[in-house]
Amino acid sequence: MATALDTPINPNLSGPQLTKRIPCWPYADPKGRHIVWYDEFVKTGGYEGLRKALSMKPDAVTEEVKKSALRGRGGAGFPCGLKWTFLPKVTTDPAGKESDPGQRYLAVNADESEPGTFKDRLLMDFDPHLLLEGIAICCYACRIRTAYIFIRGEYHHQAHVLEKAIAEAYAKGIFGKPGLLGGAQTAKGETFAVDCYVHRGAGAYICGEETGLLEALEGKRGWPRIKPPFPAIKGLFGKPTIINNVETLAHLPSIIENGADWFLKQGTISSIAGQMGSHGTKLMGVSGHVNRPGVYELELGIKLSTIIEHPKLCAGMRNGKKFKGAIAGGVSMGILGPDQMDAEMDFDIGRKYNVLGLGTACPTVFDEDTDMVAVARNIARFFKHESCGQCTPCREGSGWLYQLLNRIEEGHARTKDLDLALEIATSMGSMPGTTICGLADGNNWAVRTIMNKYRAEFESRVKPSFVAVKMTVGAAAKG
Amino acid sequence: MSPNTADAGQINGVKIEPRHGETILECANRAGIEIPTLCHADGLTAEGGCRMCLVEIDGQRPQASCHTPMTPGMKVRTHTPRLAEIRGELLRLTLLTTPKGALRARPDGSKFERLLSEYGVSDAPAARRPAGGHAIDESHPYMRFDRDRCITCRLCLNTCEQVQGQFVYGIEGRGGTTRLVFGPGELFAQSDCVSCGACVDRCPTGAITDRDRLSRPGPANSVKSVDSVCGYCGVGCRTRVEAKDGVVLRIEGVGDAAVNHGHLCVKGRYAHAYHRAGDRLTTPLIRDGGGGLRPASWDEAIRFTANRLKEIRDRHGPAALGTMTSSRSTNEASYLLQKLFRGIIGTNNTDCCARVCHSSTAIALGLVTGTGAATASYADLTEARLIVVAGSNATEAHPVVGAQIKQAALRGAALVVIDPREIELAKYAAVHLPVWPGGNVAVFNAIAKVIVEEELFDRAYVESRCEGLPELRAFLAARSVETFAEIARLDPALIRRAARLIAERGPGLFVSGLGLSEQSQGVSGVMAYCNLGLLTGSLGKRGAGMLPLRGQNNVQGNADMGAQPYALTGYLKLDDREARERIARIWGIAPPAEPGLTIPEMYDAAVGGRLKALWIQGEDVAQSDPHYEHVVRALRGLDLLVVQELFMTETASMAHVVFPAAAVLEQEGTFTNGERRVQHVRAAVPPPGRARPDWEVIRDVGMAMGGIGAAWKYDHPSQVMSEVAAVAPLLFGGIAYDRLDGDGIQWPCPTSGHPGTRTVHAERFVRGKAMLTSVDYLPPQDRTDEQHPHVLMTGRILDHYNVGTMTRRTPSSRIAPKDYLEIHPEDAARLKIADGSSVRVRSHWGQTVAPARLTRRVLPGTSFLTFHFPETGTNRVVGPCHDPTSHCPDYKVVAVSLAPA
Repeated sequence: MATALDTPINPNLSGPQLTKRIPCWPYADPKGRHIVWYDEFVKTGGYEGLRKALSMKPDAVTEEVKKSALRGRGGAGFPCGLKWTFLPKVTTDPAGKESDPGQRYLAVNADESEPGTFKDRLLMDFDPHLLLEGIAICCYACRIRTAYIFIRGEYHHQAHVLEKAIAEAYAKGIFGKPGLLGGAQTAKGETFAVDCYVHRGAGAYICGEETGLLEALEGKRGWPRIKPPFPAIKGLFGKPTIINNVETLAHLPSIIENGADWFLKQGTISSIAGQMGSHGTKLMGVSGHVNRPGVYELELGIKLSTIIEHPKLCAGMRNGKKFKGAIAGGVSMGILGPDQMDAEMDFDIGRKYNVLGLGTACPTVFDEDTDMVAVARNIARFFKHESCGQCTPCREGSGWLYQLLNRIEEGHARTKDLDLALEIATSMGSMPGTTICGLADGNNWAVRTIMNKYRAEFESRVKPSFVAVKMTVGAAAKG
Repeated sequence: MSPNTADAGQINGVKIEPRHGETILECANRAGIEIPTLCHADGLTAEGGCRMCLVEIDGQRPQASCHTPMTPGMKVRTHTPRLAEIRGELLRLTLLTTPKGALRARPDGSKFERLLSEYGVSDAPAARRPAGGHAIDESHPYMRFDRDRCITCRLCLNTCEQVQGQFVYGIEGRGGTTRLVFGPGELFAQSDCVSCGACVDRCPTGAITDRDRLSRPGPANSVKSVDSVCGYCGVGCRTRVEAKDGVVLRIEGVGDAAVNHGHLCVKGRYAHAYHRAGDRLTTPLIRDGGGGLRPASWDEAIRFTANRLKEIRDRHGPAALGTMTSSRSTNEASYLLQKLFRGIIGTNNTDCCARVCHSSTAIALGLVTGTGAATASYADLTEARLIVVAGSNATEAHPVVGAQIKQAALRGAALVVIDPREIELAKYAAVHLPVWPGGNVAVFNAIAKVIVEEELFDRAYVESRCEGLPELRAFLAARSVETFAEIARLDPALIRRAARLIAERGPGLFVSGLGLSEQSQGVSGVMAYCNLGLLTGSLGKRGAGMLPLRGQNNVQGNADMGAQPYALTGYLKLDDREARERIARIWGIAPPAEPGLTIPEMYDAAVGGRLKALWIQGEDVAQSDPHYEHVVRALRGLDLLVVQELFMTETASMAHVVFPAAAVLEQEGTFTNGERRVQHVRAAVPPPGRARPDWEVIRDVGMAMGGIGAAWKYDHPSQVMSEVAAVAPLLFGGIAYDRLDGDGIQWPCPTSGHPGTRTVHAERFVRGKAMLTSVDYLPPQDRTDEQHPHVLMTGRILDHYNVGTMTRRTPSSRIAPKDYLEIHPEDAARLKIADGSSVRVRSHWGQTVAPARLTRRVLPGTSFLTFHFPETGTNRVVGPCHDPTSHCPDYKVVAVSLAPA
């Protein structure tokens, strides 16, 4: 049997892509991390991707991103370039003059609130200009002149780092009136100016849902919107809006600099016929019962077991315990069972291993001593707390589910309560059609997959239900 | 015709062709298929929260039909075992939010309770349910909130925002702890609620209910429901009145009404308790000999009145008699009263309260266009891209239209507000011009100057349809925006901004109110305002035009019926030979040819001893008309004062004959609203005691005075309307009771096949070409001086109506218990006036005392006083100043001094 050591890490890469300036395993010791400000960023090749993008026509940039098959790093894995093409089309007159695209927005989703997910934080902690460069490229390609970074309220430090980096970027002519890169001529022979702002959230998970985020940016309750209309048509303040994750945008500079083909060589093609591959690297933040938790930049497709066992990565289970399971990537994705440790971390994981999806690719690993009932109860508590209250099934179901799981954990529940809990979990979410957004789907998948994959553990905690048996007096005598 | 199969979708096998953007729910409604909902109501945006409206679409997971578009070829099933199961589960979950016992399955309960019953949901796990026992919030006089019944469906919130534009409700907390709040306060009464009641109608659980209503009685068949028209302002909302045993139980808006689309305001919906007030007049009263008023039989009172009228006419001549017909009563009553005075007595001394409100508007519009009425309709509010509101506090005085203006602004229509006060609409406006009281002409001329000078006007329209442009151009060229701005005390840059916005977004809808009309320069003000409508090419177009908001339910109709001393029914001229002949054929006698007296002239004539008898129909002129001392002297000097009234008002107390009148809820007839819409009023309850509808009493007096044969035999008000149609066929020829079901007819409607007219002057103006007028600013007649340095304006608030005869006899008095004086905090500080303290208001003409309300709504140096309570006697302060043409009093600019009382 091949050991973890035999498995090459990032076989198609010689070095890091997203973490060039942030020392990370497997390439370097995290002890050398520091905030990379403008001068250092530029000295190490920063804003070269933007320079190259400006020499291309906007649609050519979009085309390159589309060709690279870059998929969203926020959780859903939606193809980034394709999303951009949903914006209303601009037309070109015979003289080559483009129609006015009108007011459009980029909303950067930096509301990283999923339990166990801490990958975007790394980028904002240490390499803020990488995000800003990605923002500039996206804005140029999509003809957007205003970008908002919606950052999680609890990310105080990161917000300050970003604010300072944006101030630098304005001072150095990246953003602001003169136009990107100090008023550099674009391929269209003009300048293109972008403004960029930081908006801090107020501590609600739901604001990471893209339309909840837009509502919050508008100063309203962060209640997700009914779709359609989709944000690309009618988003922030009713205008066409692109919403991209921090890590997705951070990939843009190197994709533009090195080309789509370079990016396509990384990662893996899909093992399912006709499906889009999982290309490029991914920041995978591992937490839980492993020896060395942390963020690793890894090519998509790497096996979870490699991440856990490889001495250059997590270096094995803590205290030599056995692997019991792992949350795939954020609690809402559901759980990988004891027999699914070899799952490949790519966008096919959902179909192949009965979880919702890859999510943020930040696994939380559990060892053999973990009480899975407590895990389910804790996750249910999170979703109960974060339900926004808009749709009945989520608002009421999440509280009921939490209460049932509490009863199970405390040993007061009966067998039929397991079925009831499963029924409640299964009936809520946008997939069964009973909610507007996907928050309840996360609750559904997390609780349902844990209960199904560790059914015996739950059954051992409940008292048997008494089944009423119907007796008919005198039936026997009649024969 | 069956829908085209290719474009049709199917709902439960029924083929239906979706219209553009239509949701499955809307399609199903159209097909008569009911899909259960909790958080949805027609006309509101989809909320999508309750999920009850889930449907199965072939090949897809269940979808919420309230926000899923119907597309061709779609096959939808609305009721399947799977959906029933989901809905049952949703109801059970929803029930979890409420304490045990608050809501239960019952087929005769609230919408939610009926659904519980339909889906067989009897109960939910008790352990999960919150503790109940919240006290019912009864702080508001009209609405009650029962938190235990609230399922946080947010229908009230959406209704409040999207119908009333008021934003009272909010959601606090998240997840299972979300709860409904009313702004920062804990109690309903502390909220910004304007008591329109729209949320009550939509609440699916009965958490918000009407609290003043008598409890709904048992068997439905004992409740009588009647469709009628509101009797307060001139918007003319259609109402559905439920009554039992002669008592009104509830009033709600008619859902598909063209005017109000189911919406009502606090007055129309709730302020109806006056009809059963203990001090209603229930028997005729006469004053014979030197004594007081004594009860009399109808026969006696009618004979007495007829005899006295005849005696006075025979002794002093017809010109010694006059009448003020009522703008609160029906068209039929108004018509018959002017017919009595013109036809039997022989005088044109017939006027009405329009004299003291919109007479300036009617005259100005008549001069400019050829007809003295609105050129547009309320429906145009929904289509307008630009709305200018001048001198109208619509959200308080015409709340349903006010709400429609707010919605238009929220939808993106550009709103320009010209008003000395920062009224509610000013907050929704792109530009608010806080014009100094009396400066209307200056500000309109300034705007016109910018539009003309910068060549921003609609050249094609002005050239083909208007006259007077060269004159106006020359007139404006000689004056500067800065001079106008100085008069109006406005920033010239702000005026330019407003002008450019108006020019850019026009054609627009030009709304106005009494702030334009009740001025020393009332007629000029409205004419200068019309200039803006003409320069932007607005008159005669959809979504545009002149839309003066009329104050009384039937003030339009009253003037239409001939309550004017210089015009006959249908605005026929006194010297119109053909019309005179026609009327003579119908009446048996032609009307007199000489113009009669206006209301102020009648007072003067009475004081001068030339007018001996006056018949006042449903109006407390002693309270409502300006220059109180003069009015009272006039009334006291009469030999005969006949009053038709609901209550013993100050005016009635001076009368020689008081006829107890039926109120709007108690009689049949027609009202004509401010957009010329004639609508059918029906009785919901009988009048109290021996009170009778006005028209019947006038008919009886007419017959007692020897009214000529068939011309005075009316058994039903519809016969009166048929006569009106015959008298003035150009405007009313096609109006008949059998055509008035539903939304009635907007005149002009010349023939029985004519559909009525939404937009007047569409092809050509009635007078040919419209007139651009060059009128210069004149200062108000009542000048401020050292003794009277302050400018006082008077007007209404939301909760009361005019002199409060009706609304003070309802729980509205708890919302607004007294009049108040709005005064700027800077003035108050200088004058040492504290908020709530009494202020003595003294003018050249009189004085009164009112409590101060410190607010920055008014400009420093100006103040605003309401006139709803007789204790205040606001009109003692208002003097005799009036517009020289219309005789409309200047209620809006009174020079006063203020001091702590």
